[in-house]
This record gives sequence, structure tokens and C-alpha cells, in this order.
Amino acid sequence: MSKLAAGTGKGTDVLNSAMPYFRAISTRLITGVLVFLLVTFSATALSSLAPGSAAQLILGDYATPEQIAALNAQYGYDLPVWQRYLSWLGDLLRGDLGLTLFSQQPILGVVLERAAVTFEIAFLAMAVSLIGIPIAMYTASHPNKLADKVMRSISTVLLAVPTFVIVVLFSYLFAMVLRWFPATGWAKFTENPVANLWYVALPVLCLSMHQTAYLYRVARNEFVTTLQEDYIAVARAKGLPLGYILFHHALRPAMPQILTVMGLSLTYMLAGSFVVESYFAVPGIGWTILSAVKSHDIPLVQAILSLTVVIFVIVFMLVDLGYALIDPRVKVS
Amino acid sequence: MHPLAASASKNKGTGFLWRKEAKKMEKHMNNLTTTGKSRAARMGRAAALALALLGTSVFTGMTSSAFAQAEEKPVSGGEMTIIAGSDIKSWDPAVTSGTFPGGPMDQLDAVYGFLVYVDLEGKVQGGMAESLTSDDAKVWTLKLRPNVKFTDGNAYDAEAVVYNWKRAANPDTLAPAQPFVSSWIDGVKIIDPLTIEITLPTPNRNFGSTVAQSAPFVASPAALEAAGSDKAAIKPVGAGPFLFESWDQGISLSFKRNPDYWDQPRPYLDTLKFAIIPETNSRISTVVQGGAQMMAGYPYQFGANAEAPGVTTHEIPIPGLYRAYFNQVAGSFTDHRAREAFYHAVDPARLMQAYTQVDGYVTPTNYFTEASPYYQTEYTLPTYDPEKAQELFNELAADGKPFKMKLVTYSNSDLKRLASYLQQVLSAYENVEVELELVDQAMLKPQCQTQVNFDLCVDGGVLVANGAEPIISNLLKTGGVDNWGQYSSEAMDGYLNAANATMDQAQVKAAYTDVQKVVAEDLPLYIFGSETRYLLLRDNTGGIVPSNGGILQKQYLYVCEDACAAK
Repeated sequence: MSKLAAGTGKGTDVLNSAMPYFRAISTRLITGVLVFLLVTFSATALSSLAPGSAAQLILGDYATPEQIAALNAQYGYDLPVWQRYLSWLGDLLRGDLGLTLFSQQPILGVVLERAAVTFEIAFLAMAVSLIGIPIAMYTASHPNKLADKVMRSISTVLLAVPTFVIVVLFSYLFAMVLRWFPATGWAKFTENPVANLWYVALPVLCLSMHQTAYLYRVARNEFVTTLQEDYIAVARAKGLPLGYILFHHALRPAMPQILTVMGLSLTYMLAGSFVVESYFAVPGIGWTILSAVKSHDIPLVQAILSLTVVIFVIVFMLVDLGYALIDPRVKVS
Repeated sequence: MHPLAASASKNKGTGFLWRKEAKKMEKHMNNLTTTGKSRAARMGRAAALALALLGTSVFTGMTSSAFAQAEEKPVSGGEMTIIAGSDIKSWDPAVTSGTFPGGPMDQLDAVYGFLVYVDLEGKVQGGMAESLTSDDAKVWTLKLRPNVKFTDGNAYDAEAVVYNWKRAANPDTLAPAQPFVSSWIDGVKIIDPLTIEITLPTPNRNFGSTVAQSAPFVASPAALEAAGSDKAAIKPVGAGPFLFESWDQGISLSFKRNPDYWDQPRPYLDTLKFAIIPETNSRISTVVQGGAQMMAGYPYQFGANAEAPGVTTHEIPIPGLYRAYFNQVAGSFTDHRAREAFYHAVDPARLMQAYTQVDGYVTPTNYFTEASPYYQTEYTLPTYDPEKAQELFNELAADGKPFKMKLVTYSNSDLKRLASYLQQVLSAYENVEVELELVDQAMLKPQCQTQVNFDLCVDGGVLVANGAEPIISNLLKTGGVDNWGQYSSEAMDGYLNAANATMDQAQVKAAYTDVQKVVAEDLPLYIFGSETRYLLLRDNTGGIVPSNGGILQKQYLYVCEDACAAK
């Protein structure tokens, strides 16, 4: 076989091995588009069912039903749902998300700016929650010892307490009693990194508590199971240090499960951000979408939902692909 | 009781202002002896109160805000953040609502300034305008201040004011005050650039206060013209104490000092911000921690946080009523016996305790509370009497009209407690059926006001009026905008008109006494509590001058370097 033919053969092999990934990505992207359309259409439809209207809010308490109807007509809120949806979709395809209903800020800029805030909190909360993995490694390698029992109890309590309770408790303790962190507010990282970390501390701490406990429980169970495998017994018999065994032989088999939890945790982070951002007055997308729903700023709601769907589709796609990269036994299809 | 307060109490009885100041003195002095405030603050307060007492005893006509100004030493510069519970929806000067501090009207006032405002004594005072006065309640004269300009350079003159009024009177503007303004807009005459004469179709003693509370803002006609019919496109161009700087929807608004403001050296602050924080506990913790200067609320919300270091409270002594609406056109409450039975069946003091989780509330005996010049003791609302209530419920059942009530309110935790308490108490009576319906806050008005789909509708918060009007007519007059139960009485309408038509205070008082007689007879509303608003604020906040039910006049606000010497 000539070198050229050998080269071509190698290229074909690479292409063949990459094809399942392309197919998997394409399939998930198509599914993602369908989910996107369904979610954004539902948001338009549900906005018609929400009590009150933007016109009522703009005109205030003393507006007559006729005045409210007139302003709704001016905004096009009196049009059928499908017509409003198509109009919005057309604007989206043109890359024109419009302006926020009241302050007339460009929606794209508002959404990106506030998404950056939420991502920062979610990313840092995720990073903090990773501390659950080494703790799980340690307690799994010392099952039913004091540390294991204590950690299991703590994680049970943290999982049992909802985020909104943690938020109130932490705010009272750290903001009002100890005064270590601000009760509300935000500073941009680009403008003042130190102030940014000061403001972000409490929201991150609150958001990561539940997640750390969840990640710890899952990882511990995985490690306990893995550490009972024969090949671990062989590694121990060979006299390998425990740390080496944990990181080189136990971590990888546990990763698919941990990765799944981390992927799912993003949904938790976004849902949790509604509570955390509202309570700490953090200008992220959680708080923004809540206030946009209340004030019937439908274009802003649509934009945030669109971004959320896109993020979810991408994250779940990456998690699926990650399985195959971590564990060769998993086929990409 | 503090000795000074005691001496103030001894001198009660020489008129309303005496009683009021003595009460204030008693309250503040007792506070001083029980709370751990700084010595400087105590001395300052004592001095301010003593002066207030002296001033009241000789009654020079100075308002309490004037006293406050005389005592305080304003500091120029600095930044202040006021917490608001909700955001504004547009900069349209004709679309205003909400008299609470930090509310939408407060935010518009920063840019536009009040044309006139109602002070703590219920008197109309000059704001952006010099005065709005009348001798006969029919012909009113608005005098404007010379050399006032909008921030776009145009004159703040009679033409600009009339332009704004005509715009508000135009139904296309969709202004809530349109019915009010359109009723007199044809009688407006520009005398000269600084004088406008308004001839009303019928005399209205409360014309000035109604302008202050319903149509107080004047924007640059050029900015309004440029926006056309698109409210969202209106740029905030006024002549008020601050210039608009930025608005991050749902998050915050920022203003900077207007260097050309007419009342120099005011405003004192360089920067004024409103932070939008809907969650009550977050608002409180933000003030306690120093993340913002102040928030509005009620003492039962503040709890022990009012005693936190560096924090104080400030009462806005304008009473407001807790009330519920009886449906007067359908259902059980169309029968007077049902309304009377309801009053007898529920102990309002216990109801307020359930609502606020604080006891000690004094139940109002009629529409006007003891703090009002129109307070009387002859005509009172039915009191708690469970036996009488059961008799009336039995009587209704015997007549084939058993008492059935759908209670509608919105789903916040305080109102849920109130609704549950009412259901629990009423269900203990025989021949009574109670149904609860908790709706979204935004749905309360459509359901109660527009659809009249309730038997008893409870709105949250208090209804505050600095002076009787326009709130009392809105509540009790046929077709009034706040008359959700659609109560209608020719006698009531006549007495309210009579109170409006004269400048003679004795005749006004007589008319309002008649109004209270009809309230006690007809029971148009369920009145169950009264309260004043409070501010929770940092103790270095100075220049608190409330107007129009609680809105702060931003030009007076300042931040002291340390705790302010006087409040």
C-alpha cells in the first residue's frame, strides 16, 4: 500500500470514527430546535393566560378597561397567539430582539449582561460544589467511620432544607448578624473584581449548599461500589497508596454518574437562581425573568427563555458526548 | 412617661394641632427613654420636639416640615439609595399612581418635581409652582416661579403647564386623571407667562390637593411632542431636582443633581438612586446592613430590626385605613343586616393582630380617625358583639336569605392570615357559609373593581389620604374609582359635594360629620384598622419631608457624615 493510500485510509478511519459524533450532534440539534419552538410558543400562549396586562401596569390603578384595551392594541397584545408568535419569530430570525417594554433597553444587551451574572453565580456554585467529590472519596474509603457518619448526616440535612430556607437563614446570619457579606446588590467583575466577589459570596454559598450535598451523596455511593470491585482489591494487594487508587482507578468509573449529576445540577442552578437572585437582588436572568413575567414584558421573557433552551440543549449534548469520551463502552448514537 | 411628654399632655385641649403635637411629643419622648440612640440624636430630637411644641402653642402657621428644615443642618453632596418595591413603567408625567415612598410617583418626582404638594397638615403648598390658591373654591390661580427652565432649556411657564394639562385631558393620552382634568380644562386661561386662572364648573375646595395627588407633574412639551403617542419613547425631561441618568429595568434607576434647580442650594445630594427590591425581608436587611438608605413599610414588618445599630425609623404621620369592600349590588351584603352582622361577628382588634402579628391596634370608630380634624364620637360603626351577630345571621336565614360570603383577596402571607382568620371566626357562627378565593395581586382589581365578583374584597395596605379628598370621594361617592362595592347613596353624594363646595372650615366639618353619620348607618365599607406609614432608615439620613401621603421631597434629602443631629 502506498503512503498516500495509507494516509487516505487513516483519514477515512478518522472520518468514520467521527461520524457517530456528527450524527449525535445533528440529532440533538434538531431535537433542540423543536424544543426551542415548543417552549417559546408556549411562553407566548401562556402570557395570554397570565392575570393583568402590560397596559394595566403602564396605565396604573385608575385606568378604565377601554384605556387598557386601547394600549394593548397599540402593543399588538390583542392579536391572536399564533400571529404574535410568528411576528416574534420573524424578529428573532432578523436578529432583532427589540427593546425592553418599559426602559427601552436593547433586549439582547440586557439578556447577555444578566446571563453573565447568572453564569458567574452558577459556575462558582458548581465549582464550590465540587468539594463534595474529594470528601466523598475520603468518606467512601473510610465507610461507617465518624467522618463518614457526620458527612452523611450533614448532607441529609442540607438536602432536606429547601433553598429558600437556606437563603433566609444565611442572609440573617452572614448579612445581618455577622455582617460579613452584603444583604443585596451587585458589582460587575469588570468594574471591581473584589467587590464582585464580596457580593457574589452569599448567593454562591446558598446555591451550592444543596448541590454539594447531592454531589457528595452520589459520588460517595459510586466510590463505595467501585472500591468493592476486584481490580481495586488487586491494586490494594499490590500495595498501591490509597490516594493513587482513588484518583487513578476509582474516579474514572464513577465519573459518568457524577457527570450526569453535574449536568442536571445546571437545571437546579437555574431554578435556584430565581430564588437566590430575587432574595439577594442580584441582577441575573432568574430575577429578570421573574420581574419580566410580573410586568408582562413578553419580549424579554421570550429572549430569556430562548437563551435558557439553547443552554440546556448544549449542556445535555455535551454531557451525552462526555459519557462516550470518559467511558469507551458507551456508544454514541 | 417622659416628663416633657407629660407636660405636653397636660396642655392638651387647645385645638387639633396641640393634641397632635402633644401626642407626637409623648410618643417620641417615650421612644427616647426606651431606645438606645446616641446622645446627640436624643438631644437633637428633644430640641426639635420642644421647638415644635413651642411653635404649635403660639401657632405661627409654620408646617412641621418647616420646623424640620429649621433644625437640620443639611450636608451637600453624597449619594443616597432609596429602596423601591417596584419599578416604574414609563416616564409619562400624566400617568401616575402610588403615594408610598419609593413608589413610581416618587421616582417621577425626582425628575419632574411636584407642581404643588399637600403637606403633613393637609394644606396645599407650592412646589415647582409658587402657589395654587382660591378665595371661593371656584376660581383658582396658579402662580409659577420666574426663570424656571426644563433641562432641555425650554421655559417652565404657563404654556408648558397648560400643554401638559391638555394632554392629560385628552382621552388618547390614557391618563388616569383624564376625567378630573377634562372636567375643568375648558376653564383654563393663561393670564401671563407665570399666571394661570382656572374657573371650575362647580366649586371644589379640594381642587388644589387633587391636582397635587392626581396631576402633579409637568414635563417639557418638546420631549412629549418628540415621543408622540408612544409612551415608552418619552424621555424624562423635567425641571425637578434631579436629572435622569440611567434605568436598568427591574433593577435600579439613577439620577444626578440638577445644577440648575430653582431652589438652590437644593438638591443636596449629588446622586440619587432607587434600588428595586420586591422582597420585604431583603429590603429590611439591606437597610440594616447599610446597603441602602431607606425603605417604606410598617413597624410590624420591621420588628426588632428597627433597633439595629445605625438604624432608626421615621413616622409619616398621615393616617391610612385598612378596609374591605362589601358588594352592595349582589349577594348577602346587599342586605343591611348582613353588613351589620359582619361588623358584630368579627373583633377588629383580633383581626388586626392576625393580619400584622402585632397586638395593640386601636380600632377606628368611623372613617375619620382621632388624628383627623373631622373626627367625631356621635356616629360610630357597630362594635364586636357575637350574640347580636348570631341573632342577625339567624334572622337572615329565617327570611330565606342565609349569609353566604365569598371573600376575595390576594395571596400574600399577611392577607392569607387575615382571610383564614375571617373564615375561621365566621364559620363558628350558625347559618353562615364562607368561601375563600385568593387571587394573584394583579387580578384583585379586575376581579373586584371591574367584575365585582366578590361579597367581601380585601385590598392590602392602607389607603392613605393627606386630607380627606380625593380619597373619600373615590371610595364613597357613586361611581368613585375606588368604590369597588358600587355603593351608591344620594345623601352621601350630597354631603361629599357640600364638603367640597365651601371654603368655610366649619361647614366642611359639618358636612363630613354628616358623611360619617351615613357611613355609620349604611356601612358602605368594612373599616377594621388604621395605621401610619413608617420609614426604616439609616440614622445618617436627613431632610425627610413627606408630602402627598408619604412621598419624600427629594430636594431636601441629604446624608450626614455621622448620625444626623435632628430628624
